[in-house]
Amino acid sequence: MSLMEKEFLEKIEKHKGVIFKISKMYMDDRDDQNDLYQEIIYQAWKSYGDFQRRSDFSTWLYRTALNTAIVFLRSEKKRSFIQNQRVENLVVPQESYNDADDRHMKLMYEAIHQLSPIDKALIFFFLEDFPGKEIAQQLGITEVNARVKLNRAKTKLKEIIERQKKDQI
Amino acid sequence: MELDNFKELWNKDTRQDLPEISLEKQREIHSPMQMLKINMETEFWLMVITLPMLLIGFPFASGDTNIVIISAFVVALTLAFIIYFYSRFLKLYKILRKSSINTNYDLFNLKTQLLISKEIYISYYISYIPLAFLLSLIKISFHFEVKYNLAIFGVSFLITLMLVWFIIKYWIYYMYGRYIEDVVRLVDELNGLEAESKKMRKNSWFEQSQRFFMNKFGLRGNILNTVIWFVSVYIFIIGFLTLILLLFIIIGVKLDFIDIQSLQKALNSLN
Repeated sequence: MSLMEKEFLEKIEKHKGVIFKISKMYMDDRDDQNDLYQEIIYQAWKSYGDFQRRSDFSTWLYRTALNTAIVFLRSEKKRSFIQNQRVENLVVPQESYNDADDRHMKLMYEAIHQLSPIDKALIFFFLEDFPGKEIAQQLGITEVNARVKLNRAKTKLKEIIERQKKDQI
Repeated sequence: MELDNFKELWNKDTRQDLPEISLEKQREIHSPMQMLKINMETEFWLMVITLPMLLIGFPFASGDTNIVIISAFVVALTLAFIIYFYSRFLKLYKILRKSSINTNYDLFNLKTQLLISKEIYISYYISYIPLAFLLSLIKISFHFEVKYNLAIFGVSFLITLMLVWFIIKYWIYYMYGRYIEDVVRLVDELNGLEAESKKMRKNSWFEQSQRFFMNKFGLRGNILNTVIWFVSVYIFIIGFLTLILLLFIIIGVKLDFIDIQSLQKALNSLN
């Protein structure tokens, strides 16, 4: 194993949980989540040589992860295009959701899955507490635009949660 | 559950049994660029294999050395075109593998390059029109004065024009356009442009068979699907046009505006 490989693996170790959460935000199928997770790490490793240390490793990694996830195609088992359609009736394995938190987590990911790829990225930044300025830098849009888009994405998510609540009743 | 709880839940989601990290590509991954690359590769080899085979049938069979030489030049020129366009695409693919400044820049770069590639690809097929014109002339050995040669020239040229039209209208869309559309929609959404909502259309036969083969054979299934459709569409178009021509000739003979013997003579002289 080369020195660079070792350094990369050490650095990524701390962030692999977040990378998997990004995969879960973008893919509802377990196989697709694993594929996306591997693809993000592969893409990050390929461009690690170009990482110029002008930004934090985590900032660069999350950007690479989101850029990969946004254009990732689902496996042909379900659909052939980038996942930007509404996803209804998601099936998540029940055995891993035993308590209230797990049930809520399942609902949270179900709600996020119904957003567009760009809105998912915005919600990721919101959940990771990124300030508006940094969201704007990551996405390459103005800060005002980033805030407006984030608010819209949050509104959409709230509407989805409301719908989920009604469906449960 | 409210949106405010999401942060709490997000932080609680600390799964321990994460998949093992590998720096190698372990499974087949589908990204728009990769699908485009595979389709481009498949089409490149299909053209390289079928083009000389297609041409061997008529101009090369001619006894006239001049015609054989001209045909050889046309084939060489066409192959040079194909190689140029394919190498142009590979260059683009290499550029796009390098990232990244920000999401918008990367997506915009991807969109621009994809659209440029699409236009180059269209011009590549349009460049077949003068070649088809030349081939149609070769077909009648440059002799318009023979009865019906003008019609034979016209029909040959028309068949190529229809093939080019079909390729630009449908083939490009199913092989490349639908992946490009997705990227364009993402860039538009990010930049606040009124993104056209994705039309929920029924899956075409091409997409259905693509899914079937990809489920069975993975990315190789995609190549198989492309080859099958390429060959079938080609056979269908030729068969369909032959049928139309045949009907036209039969009706023409019945109504006495086509002289079957002169036509036979003109067709024989082609060989």
